[in-house]
Amino acid sequence: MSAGEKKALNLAWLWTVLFALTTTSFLLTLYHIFFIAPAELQMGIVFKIFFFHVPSALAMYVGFGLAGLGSAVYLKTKKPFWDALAISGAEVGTLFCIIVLVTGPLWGRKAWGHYWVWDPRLTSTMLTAMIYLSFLALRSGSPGAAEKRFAAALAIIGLPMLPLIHYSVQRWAGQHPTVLTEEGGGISAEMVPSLLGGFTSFSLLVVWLLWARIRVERQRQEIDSLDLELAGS
Amino acid sequence: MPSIYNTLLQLGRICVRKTPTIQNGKKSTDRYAAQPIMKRFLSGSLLALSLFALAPAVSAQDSEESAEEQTPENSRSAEFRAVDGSVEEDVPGGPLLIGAYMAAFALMLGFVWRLGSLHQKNQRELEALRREFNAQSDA
Repeated sequence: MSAGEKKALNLAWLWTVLFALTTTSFLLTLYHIFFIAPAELQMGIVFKIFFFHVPSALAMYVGFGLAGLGSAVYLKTKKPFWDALAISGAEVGTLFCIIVLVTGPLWGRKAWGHYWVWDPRLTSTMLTAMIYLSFLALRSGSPGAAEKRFAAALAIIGLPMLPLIHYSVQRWAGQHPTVLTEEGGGISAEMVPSLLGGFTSFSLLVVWLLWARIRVERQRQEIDSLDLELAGS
Repeated sequence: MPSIYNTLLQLGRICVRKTPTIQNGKKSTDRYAAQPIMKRFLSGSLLALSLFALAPAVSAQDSEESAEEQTPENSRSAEFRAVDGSVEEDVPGGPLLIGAYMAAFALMLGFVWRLGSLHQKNQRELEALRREFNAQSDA
């Protein structure tokens, strides 16, 4: 780890400020969701799942996107930082993907009468989760160079799934709502602050989690290199 | 079909290939004899499961296409409108809403807790290794 990178990852004040901003943003958003935002005409109060479900999906895109980017650059340069970015992005992306896959079916129970339907968006999201879970399974323990390369290739294979998830509701028939798309009718004005709060909170959280995870992974890489150096001496 | 078969064959070859590592200055494949094969098996199984997941989606897609011919195109929600006054629920929404938020927070806090414990474990290991490294260089 270079001195500059070490310094950047250890900026304690920025870390604390980001944590405080994230917590405050979450508290304000939760207050708005539960005490101010109205229920929806068809969905009732279950609609309020929307305010966490959609921002989680955005955080998932960020995580998986960075995993793909980190993997591609790592395969090209073999620099450990990009590997750390890839594994951190995959873990954070998987976390938010699981949140999406848990909150979505709870919404679906009310909207469709079933927890799960084989809708193109639901299926492509589950498929993406499985690809990145495979990545994490390969990277668990102490992976060798071959496992790292294979996992990086998997993360790149998973990248085209992201636009596929996004456009699946527009291109193919399905039951997933299309509210925030060009064809959608949008949401009532009273609901907008909660949604914006959700996007702000999850954007801050994804940055904070990625930072923390990269820091931990860089520590792990330092341990491995020290271990190797000790074994060689 | 032959190209899919070849791709799967290539993937299989990558999955079973052993990776030599350097332990105490010697090349060794022992460390990779058991654990990575299990990992590769697990990863391969997850991928296979994902492929199986596509099958119902494809059949659902076919049935939806035929259903679409009979039903209006916009049967799904395209807009969310606020309700005035109290709400009457046919499916009780409270448990679903609370369940969703509790699950989301449990997952996020669990991840933060895991990061914290990994960080502490790494700190301990790093300190021990640095001590060992210093002791070796002093000797």
